[in-house]
Amino acid sequence: MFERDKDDLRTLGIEIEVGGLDPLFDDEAGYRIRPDSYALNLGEVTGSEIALLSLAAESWRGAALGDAAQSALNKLLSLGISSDYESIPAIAPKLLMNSENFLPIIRALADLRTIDFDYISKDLHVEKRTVNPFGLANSHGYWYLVGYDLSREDLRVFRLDRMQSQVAPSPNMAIFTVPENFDVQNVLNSQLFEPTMVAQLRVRKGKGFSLLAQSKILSDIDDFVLYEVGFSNRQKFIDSILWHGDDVIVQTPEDLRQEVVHKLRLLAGGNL
Amino acid sequence: MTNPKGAQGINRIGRLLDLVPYISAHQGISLTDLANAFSSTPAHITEDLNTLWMCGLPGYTPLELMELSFESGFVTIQNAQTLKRPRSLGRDEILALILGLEYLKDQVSSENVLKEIADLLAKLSNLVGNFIHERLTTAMPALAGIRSQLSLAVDHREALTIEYHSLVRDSVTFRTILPLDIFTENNTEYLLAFCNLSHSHRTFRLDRILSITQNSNESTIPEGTPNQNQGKTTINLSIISRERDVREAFGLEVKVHDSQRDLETSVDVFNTDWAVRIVMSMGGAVAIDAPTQTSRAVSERAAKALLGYEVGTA
Repeated sequence: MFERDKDDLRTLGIEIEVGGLDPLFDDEAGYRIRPDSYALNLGEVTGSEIALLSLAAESWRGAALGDAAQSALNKLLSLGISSDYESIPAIAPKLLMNSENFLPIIRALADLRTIDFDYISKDLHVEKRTVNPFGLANSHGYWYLVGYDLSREDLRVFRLDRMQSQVAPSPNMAIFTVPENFDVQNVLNSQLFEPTMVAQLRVRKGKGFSLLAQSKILSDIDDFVLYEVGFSNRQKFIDSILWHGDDVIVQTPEDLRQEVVHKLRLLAGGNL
Repeated sequence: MTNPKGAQGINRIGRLLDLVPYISAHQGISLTDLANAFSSTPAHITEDLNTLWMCGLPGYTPLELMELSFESGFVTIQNAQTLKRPRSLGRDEILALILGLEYLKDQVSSENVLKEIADLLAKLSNLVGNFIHERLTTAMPALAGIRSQLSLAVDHREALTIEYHSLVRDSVTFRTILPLDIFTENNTEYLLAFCNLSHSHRTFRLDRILSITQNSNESTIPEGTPNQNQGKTTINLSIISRERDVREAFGLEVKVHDSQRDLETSVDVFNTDWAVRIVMSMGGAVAIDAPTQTSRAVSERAAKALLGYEVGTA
């Protein structure tokens, strides 16, 4: 048999065993495909499991892994087991992910492989990053890769839509392990969303809704309510305060108040 | 794999191998349905079936050949032997299922179903060789619940009452709506619905829907085309700093420039109040060049806010 044929079979994901299989010609190397490694490898599957897996595949419709999900679904439906939707809640899941970088990242996560990509920095410079991918998460409408940045020598968070190039396996392959107890959601929360600072804001009644997710009421002053509000990202917090115009006024801390006043003066420009 | 033609050939063999078990489990399926299931055309599938027809296990007597019939436009298969067992799942397929299940997990509350999902995840992760599902979260629990309620309402043409936070007006209102479609733009999900409050077609951001209640009484939704939105306004901008933030806030393309950047750009908006608020939030990183009434709106708004600081304007 030709080497090329064997390679083709391996490309198809079919495991082959090579060896002298013919008892009469023991110098003739043959190969064979074991039925148990060829056939679907999920063991016993029930009707409701088929239903769940179908829903899981269905959630990819039109998104990044749609093709892989569809072919998986075809294989499952070929088992001849009818889906049992009885116990499954009526839901219509839909994963939102169209980035072409999604699949390479998922593969790298599965294989624990270092990856390279170009990333847009804050000042719109492109930087080459080499990262050991630890986890992937979706939060507030964006997908984030959390990984160990080899050049920064630190744990970093990357937004997928800010990647400027194809994600590729890094030629500087390193073997890495994911730290025990690594929890992608925890890292994301603590790096991006956990309030580390507090401010006192005067907010017009019935306004400022989006600022008040993590807040408590301190007192009532006429048309306004004084809140204590926690925040994690100073820049974003200031942006949001300014967005609300005269409905949200900073009381403390003083430096925050000063910065907002400074920016309002810039914005007021000719009207001063 | 290096030459695309070869890869195509391999893909075709993969499809041939997957066709046999699929037909075995769906005897009498129409060519069209079969083509749909394999994202192909009836013509291609017919070609595949012609190839398959010649296949059988060694021995190659007519008795061992597969028997395919598909002339009538409906496909049946007999004598498919071992090939009628579906192939094992490939790595990408397993990963797609793992992520899909992870995502389902956040939308299910039944203990039994959760247990079943956990078992499936363990089985699939085992096949990949590491516990990848523990390092992924697709969670948007709140949003996921809202999305499935809405998409069921779209399917069943059911009216709902939503509590909605309008960011531009910064107010919370209750509206009775008829959900029509869910779509995505710039990473954000929107619902297109007929809104009884404004008596017109409106889009709502899913992440600003605070709660949903089912409407028992039928709402009256008039037939007709969606109302035309209010006119577009083109706004000319000068980006002074924080270019990435400014561009992302306006939904403009974020692209890297080589040398001298063109920091003047324009954006079409339907709602100038929205543009004013974005320019405010950027705190001087972007300025409006035209129209003047919009740029005046920014400075007036800022001056008004300054009054709140009792620092005066002089």
